[in-house]
Amino acid sequence: MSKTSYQSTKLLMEINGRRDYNYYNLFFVLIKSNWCKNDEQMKTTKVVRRRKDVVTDYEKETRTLFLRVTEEIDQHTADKIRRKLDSEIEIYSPKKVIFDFNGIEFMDSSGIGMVLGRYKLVKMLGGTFEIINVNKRLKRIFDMSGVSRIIDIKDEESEKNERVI
Amino acid sequence: MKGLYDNEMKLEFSSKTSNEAFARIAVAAFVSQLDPTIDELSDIKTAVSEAVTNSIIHGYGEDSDGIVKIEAKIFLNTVQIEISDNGKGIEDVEMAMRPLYTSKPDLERSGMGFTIMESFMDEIKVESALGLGTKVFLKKKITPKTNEEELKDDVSQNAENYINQNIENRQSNISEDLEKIKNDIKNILEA
Repeated sequence: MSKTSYQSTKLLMEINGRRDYNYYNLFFVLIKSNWCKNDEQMKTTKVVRRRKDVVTDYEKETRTLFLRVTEEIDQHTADKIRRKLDSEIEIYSPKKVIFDFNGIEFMDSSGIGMVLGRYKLVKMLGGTFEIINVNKRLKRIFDMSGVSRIIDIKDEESEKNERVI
Repeated sequence: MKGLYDNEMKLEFSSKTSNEAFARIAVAAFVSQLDPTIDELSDIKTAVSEAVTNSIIHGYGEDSDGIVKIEAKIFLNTVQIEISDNGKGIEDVEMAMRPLYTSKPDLERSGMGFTIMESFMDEIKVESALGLGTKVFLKKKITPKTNEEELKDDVSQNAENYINQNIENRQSNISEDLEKIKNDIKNILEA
């Protein structure tokens, strides 16, 4: 926006004799766009992508990539998820990847292969890999396959083993 | 063979990976009549998923014309699940069951399928013939409900019934009271 138009908006506001909210908003947008041009501020912006089965959240400041899968992991879904996660990791080449297992109720051995594959990729790009919010049923699979000896796993608070019905 | 088991079911579907979720959920739904715990049900689902994945990926390869069969039987508190295919079969069953052994590392398979089945189920048996197919028998005993748990269920149901009855009684009392008040107001107005 040019300087003259800014002055004219100011004038209009004065003529009306009160705070005209339309112009006020315009003014605010102007400030905001300038603020975003600042390099330091740009670093703190987040990039969130939501897809049907994978949600990723990248923080530029710390170069951290959060990954969250929202469906059950078996051979069928692992193939799709693998491709999506790989493209995300390759785009950002993050310093730290946090894989959130919150809400995943089911995973079989194809999940082990998927997690280990992503771990290798991240390590090759020079980052660290961490798994959080693993429930105890999934933890058992990770323990059995030895994944928990390689990768940091932070598990969920223990829940009761109740009857289904 | 009828009458030998308390309950049984048969399932046949084409060897597509998209059917995995259907297979394990169907078996879980069948088993749920034994009232298993979440852990037990999850164990069965995982084991079935492993066996079905093996049939689809290794038995039939990329051929999606094959048929995978599942037979599940319930006898007292035990579930017996039989997963079979007419695929290429396993050459060396012992080697296939070894942890971390996989014939398809390029697919990021971890080689933990049979190990997971072994540790999640009480019993596993694998029969295979080259060129004819593979059959996997899985068995698991569901822990029956203890007396305490049954008592708890009874108590909670009784409590619910009691509360519901109380609410009904109170509601009827309130409506009676309201009518009384209405009558009173009418009387006052007339007077």
